[in-house]
Amino acid sequence: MKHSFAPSMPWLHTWAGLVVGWVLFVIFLSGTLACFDKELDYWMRPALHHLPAGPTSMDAATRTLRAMAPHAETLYLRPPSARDPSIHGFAFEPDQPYIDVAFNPRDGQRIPDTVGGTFFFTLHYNLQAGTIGMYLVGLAGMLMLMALISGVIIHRRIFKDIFVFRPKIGGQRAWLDGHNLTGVLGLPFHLMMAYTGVAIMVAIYMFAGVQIGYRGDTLKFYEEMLGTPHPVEQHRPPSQLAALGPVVADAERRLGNEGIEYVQVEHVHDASVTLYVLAAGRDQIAGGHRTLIYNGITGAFTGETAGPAPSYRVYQFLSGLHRVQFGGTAFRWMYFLLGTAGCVMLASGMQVWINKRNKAVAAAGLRSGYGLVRALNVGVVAGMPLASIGLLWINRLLPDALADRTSWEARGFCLVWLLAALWAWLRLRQGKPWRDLLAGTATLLVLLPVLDLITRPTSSLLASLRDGDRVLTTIDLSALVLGVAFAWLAQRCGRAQPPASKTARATGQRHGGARAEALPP
Amino acid sequence: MNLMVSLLAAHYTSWCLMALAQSKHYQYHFAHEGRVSRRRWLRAAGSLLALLTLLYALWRGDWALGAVSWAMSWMVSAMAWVLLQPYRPALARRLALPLLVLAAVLQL
Amino acid sequence: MPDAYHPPRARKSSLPLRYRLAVASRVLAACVGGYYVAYGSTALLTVLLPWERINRVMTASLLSFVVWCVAAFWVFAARHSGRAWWPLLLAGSVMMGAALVMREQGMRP
Repeated sequence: MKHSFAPSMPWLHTWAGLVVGWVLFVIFLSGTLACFDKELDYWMRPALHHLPAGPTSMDAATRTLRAMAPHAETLYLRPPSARDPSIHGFAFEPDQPYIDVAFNPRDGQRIPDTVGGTFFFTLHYNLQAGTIGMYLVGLAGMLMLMALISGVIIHRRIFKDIFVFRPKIGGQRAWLDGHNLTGVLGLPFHLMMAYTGVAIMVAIYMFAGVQIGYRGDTLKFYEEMLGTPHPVEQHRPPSQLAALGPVVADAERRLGNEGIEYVQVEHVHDASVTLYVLAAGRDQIAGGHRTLIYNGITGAFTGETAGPAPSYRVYQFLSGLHRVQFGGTAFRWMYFLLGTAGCVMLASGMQVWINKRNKAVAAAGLRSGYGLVRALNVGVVAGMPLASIGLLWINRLLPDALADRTSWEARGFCLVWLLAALWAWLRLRQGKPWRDLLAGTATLLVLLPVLDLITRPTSSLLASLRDGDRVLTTIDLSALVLGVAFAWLAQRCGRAQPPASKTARATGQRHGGARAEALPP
Repeated sequence: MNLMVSLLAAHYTSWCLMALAQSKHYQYHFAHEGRVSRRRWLRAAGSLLALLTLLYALWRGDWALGAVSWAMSWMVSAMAWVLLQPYRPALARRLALPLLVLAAVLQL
Repeated sequence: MPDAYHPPRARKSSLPLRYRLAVASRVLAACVGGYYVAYGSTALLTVLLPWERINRVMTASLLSFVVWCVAAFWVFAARHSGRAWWPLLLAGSVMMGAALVMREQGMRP
């Protein structure tokens, strides 16, 4: 049999998709939620709701951060912005965990810790598993790129079928339509996200350039890339640290509508202490490229950096396109919707895989690879939304004063997910695990405003409606809408027959999925 | 925000026109295949509308932001049309014109 | 021809294993072999591109993912899963070797 390129594509699509499907689902869903990471962060920090009007004290926050990280060489402070009223502080001390805390912008005091919306962001780029997770995500991204391109080659009637969705036929046909619809119509978005997602981590994933061009000297590489000179150390302590308030005010004036992303205090313990103020540039996809320099002792403006290299600007554009920090809420909603479409594409794609093997699945029983695939499907696709809304519940239920609060939140998230997956696995033999988990998610979503009313009356939907807090109102109302959607899904899953007893519909054999799934000899 | 809503609305109309330009969708909505010339007009109108919105989005402000807005709303509107069509075909079709008007009004 | 996913029962013992090994080999070749080629191409382009060093490195690195993708497609289009491996290793090694030979060129600012 003569082997050619096109017939091998379904094969690539199926396997690349199945191998990383669940990992990708986790990445997609967490990334979709991370579109609103700062908004969720704000929701999860009731201490920031109803802040009294007043001036922002960057200096008080700096003092608190310095006390937290006395040995850190560099401090980063993010002043309040339209999306996040808190002052955020970041610092890294050798042999210590990374510090990422929020301060009350009025008095600079730490506010009760939470994993915040950043939890989903971290889950998105490293699965909360450090460096290994980051490589895993990169690999998943590459396989996704391959699965997408092979998907296009498989679906040759792409333009003829572009408007086709036949939910009423049901079964395999509807799943495949759903998969094609979300995949094909969202294709430009998915392709862009897959490529830019891998490209964001380019310096970590692809080390060859630094190895050849810089003999592995990463520091030199970053210095040339960012165009930021490093202050020369003077090996004596600074007489004082300049007040940040006037520096930020001056930078705001100079940067105008570009805004400030963060202030970097370099060499805190040395007389060479220097302040860099990075522009946010939220009106551009690539973000800001200007960096203002201030003397760290006197607070005097000393100039601007040369700015990043042109190729780094290209990189910033790609990364900006992925991280959607530009433009405003409208863009984030578009990304949210298209990300959701991506989740549907993955979930329905894996369902197609199962449905196509109905007979084999039924024959092999649950203690087989097929059983594992089915259990993972429910456990991940229905379990993760449950765990995600569970995290918001845990955030409200844990006491503020609890030591190590962030760890408990993360543990709670994992525990909810684990229990959900276990439940799904136990109910797979008889019962409707899909319905159970989706109904659970719907309940938690719909009751979220009620929970708020009981635990934090000042942050509840009623209070935020009264005070015109748009972010809180939107999150609570979105939870209600999503809750109704999940309830609808649960009701549909409750009605449908269990997939194993359904015979493969003849309609599914006609095109797309079942065509030319031949093994290359 | 205004631009995004306008683009979403106009793209919905554009997708509706382009879908109806296909004989099987025309038949689904009107129970007959429709004349070829008529379907050709529908396709031309749908494509022209998409082209006009693209030019408008590029011209209105920052071209890069405009291009991204255009592409994102284009995909979301397509999904909206395809998802609404099987459940409420008549409503899906009748929304097209009011949405186009809304798109124009928002930009005035 | 029997469907690849539902091999005939009689030959259940032989075909699925071979099939699974072929799948594993190709996925591995696409990931590992593809990465090797991409790595080599980044190294070589860092030497060959005309601009300043940082721009050479950055451009070569960003292009590497495209190279990786093309290599992976080549793997899945290859006639035998065994034959998918060695051209990738060869291509990657040649590019990497050339880059190492011209290393001084690559270091130019």
